[in-house]
Amino acid sequence: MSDFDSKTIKHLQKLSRIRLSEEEESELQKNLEGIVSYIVELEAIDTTDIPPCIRVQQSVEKTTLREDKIKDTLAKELLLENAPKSIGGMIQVPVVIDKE
Amino acid sequence: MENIHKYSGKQLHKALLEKKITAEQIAKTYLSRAKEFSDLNAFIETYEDSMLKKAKQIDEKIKEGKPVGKLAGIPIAIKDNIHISGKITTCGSKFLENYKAPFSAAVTELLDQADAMIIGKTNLDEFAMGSSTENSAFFPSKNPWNIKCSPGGSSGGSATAVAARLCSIALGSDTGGSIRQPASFTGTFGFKPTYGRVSRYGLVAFASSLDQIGPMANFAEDIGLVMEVIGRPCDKDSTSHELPAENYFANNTESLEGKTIGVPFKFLENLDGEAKKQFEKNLERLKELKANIVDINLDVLKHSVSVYYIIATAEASTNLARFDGIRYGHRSEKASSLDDIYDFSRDEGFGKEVKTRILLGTYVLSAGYKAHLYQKAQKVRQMVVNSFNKAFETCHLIAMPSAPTGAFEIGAIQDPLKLYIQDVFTIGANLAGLPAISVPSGMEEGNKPLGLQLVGPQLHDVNVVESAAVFTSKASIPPNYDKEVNV
Amino acid sequence: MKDNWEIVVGLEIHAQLNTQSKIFSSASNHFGDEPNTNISAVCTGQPGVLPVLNKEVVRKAIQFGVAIEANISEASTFDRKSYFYPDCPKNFQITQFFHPIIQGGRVFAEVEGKEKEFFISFAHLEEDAGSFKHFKKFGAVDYNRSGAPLIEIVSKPCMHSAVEAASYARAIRSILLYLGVSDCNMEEGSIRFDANVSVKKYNEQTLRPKTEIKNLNSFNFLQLAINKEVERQIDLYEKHPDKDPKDVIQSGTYRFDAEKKQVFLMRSKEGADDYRYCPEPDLPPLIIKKEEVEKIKTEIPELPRQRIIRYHQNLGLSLDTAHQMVEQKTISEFFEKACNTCKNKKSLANWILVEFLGRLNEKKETFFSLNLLPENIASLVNLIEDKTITSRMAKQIADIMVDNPEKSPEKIVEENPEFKPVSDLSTIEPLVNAIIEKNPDSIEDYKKGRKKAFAFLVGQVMKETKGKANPQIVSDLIHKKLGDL
Repeated sequence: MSDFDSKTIKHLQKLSRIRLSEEEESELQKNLEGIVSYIVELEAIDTTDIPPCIRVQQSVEKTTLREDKIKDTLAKELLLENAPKSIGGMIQVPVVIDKE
Repeated sequence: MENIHKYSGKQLHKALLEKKITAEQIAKTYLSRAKEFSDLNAFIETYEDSMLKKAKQIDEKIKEGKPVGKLAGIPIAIKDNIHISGKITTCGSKFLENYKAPFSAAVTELLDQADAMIIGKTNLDEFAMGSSTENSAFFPSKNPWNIKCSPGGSSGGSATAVAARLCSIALGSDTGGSIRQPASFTGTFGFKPTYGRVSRYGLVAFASSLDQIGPMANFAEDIGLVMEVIGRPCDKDSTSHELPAENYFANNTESLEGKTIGVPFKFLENLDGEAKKQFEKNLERLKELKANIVDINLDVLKHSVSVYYIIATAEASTNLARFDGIRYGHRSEKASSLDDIYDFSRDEGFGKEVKTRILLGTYVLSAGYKAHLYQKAQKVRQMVVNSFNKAFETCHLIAMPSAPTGAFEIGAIQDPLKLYIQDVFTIGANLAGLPAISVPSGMEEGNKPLGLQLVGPQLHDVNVVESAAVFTSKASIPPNYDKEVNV
Repeated sequence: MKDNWEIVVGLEIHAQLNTQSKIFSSASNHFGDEPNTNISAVCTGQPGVLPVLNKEVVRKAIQFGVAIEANISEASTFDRKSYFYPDCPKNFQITQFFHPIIQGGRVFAEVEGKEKEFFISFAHLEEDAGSFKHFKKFGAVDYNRSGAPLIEIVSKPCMHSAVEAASYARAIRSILLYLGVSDCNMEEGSIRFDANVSVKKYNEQTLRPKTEIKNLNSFNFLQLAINKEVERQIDLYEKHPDKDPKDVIQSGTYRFDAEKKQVFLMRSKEGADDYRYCPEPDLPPLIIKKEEVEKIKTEIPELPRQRIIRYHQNLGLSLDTAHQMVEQKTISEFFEKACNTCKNKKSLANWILVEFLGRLNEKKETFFSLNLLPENIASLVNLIEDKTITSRMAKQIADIMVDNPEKSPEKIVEENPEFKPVSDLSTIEPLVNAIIEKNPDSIEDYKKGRKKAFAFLVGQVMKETKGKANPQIVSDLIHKKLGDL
């Protein structure tokens, strides 16, 4: 089915912030078209009265909560060590026009 | 002591305590093997210095009569999507080629406290997405039994390292079968614990509700040994079980008497070839061990691949959104604007399979397309859970093959969908959070191992592993793991 | 023209909860430190991290829910809201989209002297983003604020004027302050207001498109922005009476420019993000048992409305004064301390809210920055009550107290003889006689029963003595003389 067309894959790239090359775009579109036409077989299954599976663990009733204490912090140097670009102790990126 | 590499981790530990061998000797042996067989591409990085340092520490403690941890002297490899503080975690991806982990995973700390000697990080399909390590950005790993073949994936590097005796035990991760399928392909034990039994803190997430870290080894006793160390509650993982660690092999069970094993015969009806013959032999073996075999209904598992590829990719698309070139990882050189950084870094840093899955996951979550599919998949997932629960009303364990075939040749499968369908026997245990193990069970022509899968109800991890041990003890079907591996 | 139009406003309030650590990360939740010094692997979105919910965040949220008489969900869940931005370390925010922790609720607020009821739709927990700082040639990100615990309070569109919106906002802020769950500091950004504004004709059943004005950080701006936006929308509708409202008002997110006093479009809805909400698989459902809620109910401190009523009924303050006092929690507490030793609470309230606050604001100080003691303010009022000093003198003493906060009014009086009122009859009596002679009309009025005339005469004498005569003595003297007449 051509539900998964070139418009779709272009839009998905926008949403997922990946800019494919032209050839990869057409290759992936083909692959995804095939995968999607396979997985839609689920639509035919009768799931009346079946709740969605929210939690895999079956025996646990209570919530995991953490004490309000400061611990396991990250040193600034460790954050910046992996940063592609940093300035003044902050992560640096190009200037952005639209301000919040 | 000769042929150290043929011993189990537990045996090595015992020999160490009995002063028959030193940790340094063990470390040097395995490091030299890793070098000798580096063509197998099991490792992304080996840690000669830190491993020898650890070995020295252990030997000193022994000399001074101080106590050592449970895993002292045992060489262990870790899949390269699990953090070791200060070391690079690549996840098999160009994106993280230079990423230095700022903290250790919970399992890493537990292994270290138990005095394990970490030999290195093993190869994997990029971000654990794949069934062969062909999706690794660096190189595919080779199956030690037949080097033209893949060791499976995504924990292929770990499987190769274990099968070729480059370490005693390796940690892998399993989201849809990524420990069990490579174990099956390489004639090793590969165990995926109950969801939440082992902490995921420090495991780079693929699909949060499906991922579990688990051990791979040549001996069932080593699986149990490591599980005793890593199968613990973790306060940094909200999905972790609060139950204390369990003891494995406390009783020396030698038969499966009194155990009922369920087999989903209808679901398996399309199994053919050598895998089918082998599975039938396995069932005979189980009967020899006094197990009672019953038929169970797991027909819903025929939908498991669809369910998996909707839920796993949806979760993955959000888990991998953080790889954007801003705080760490690859930032594209040709980016001049912020938008460019996102778009180009992610295109350049990710391989094809990862991009495919991110796009698919985005597709199923996006309002404009088939968002109803995601809810549908969640419901069918519940049906899978219900089916297993029903089946376990009539049996203690479930037996199935681990994979539909033995190892395939590297490069043989190009169609991603065909590769996805490989996971059809393993996915169910991830969807339902069940403990499941692949046990070496036979060989296919061309020197390709096959594996039998045993699945238990949630939190029956000990039973699953112990039953696997029984299956291979005094085996009449010879898995070849006690012979010298022919590489 | 404007009379045909009904204003419809809803407010979304984001308040940072003042816990020690963040909501899902155990890094410090503290404002104002060096960039990237209050961080952890979790709140900087490192690979391999997992969120763990802060117990105290939940408790504070339940407290708020109880205070607004809302329903606390027995099982609420967390969800991922996806969007890419540098201040969002995982490129998704953990929030509660499908099943929020708090549902319903109401507050009472004073609107132009009358009490009005406003309704909350729901409130949920979520994590804050980091700070994306914009410089001329680059941008820079500080993750100190990333992962800070937020409670987002969403009202029903039940406000019908900017004044109502501001009153509601004040009331919510007061409750958060009194519970001690948030610092509610608008300058620091620990409380933020977004307004959803639309207009409609009174007879219309459905609402027209709304616009969202974000990050209004003062009550004045809130009112100004709403009024400006209402004006703008009405103008547009009246220019295009036949067009479909959806085509007249461009739905989207707007920003209020405080300098230009204008509302600008930031982001239109057409390019709107598809947030792809999905359940957060790393967090199990938040289960809250009824017993827990009941226990928290018993631990709720006095809330603003209760305090206003108490001040009005028990202490005799006017509703308006009570409101003003209660709005500033720390001052209200100062007032209550002073009340312990004060003979006239109404007068005390006035001295605090008007006389002292006025002087303090001028000096840009506060009771607390100067360490003024409540007992001393109480003493001052008592001195007036006892007629030991005149109120005019008291004002001068107040000036001195603000400059010398360590000195008690008694000390100041002791050190300054001109603050001792003149009690010498030989000085006062002639003045009284003179005033009585000069004001025969007042005497007539007084004889007719007009008490104001008496006060007038006292006032005149006080004027003559430049406020230094002992008012009690003056009063007694006049009484005697009038009685003699």
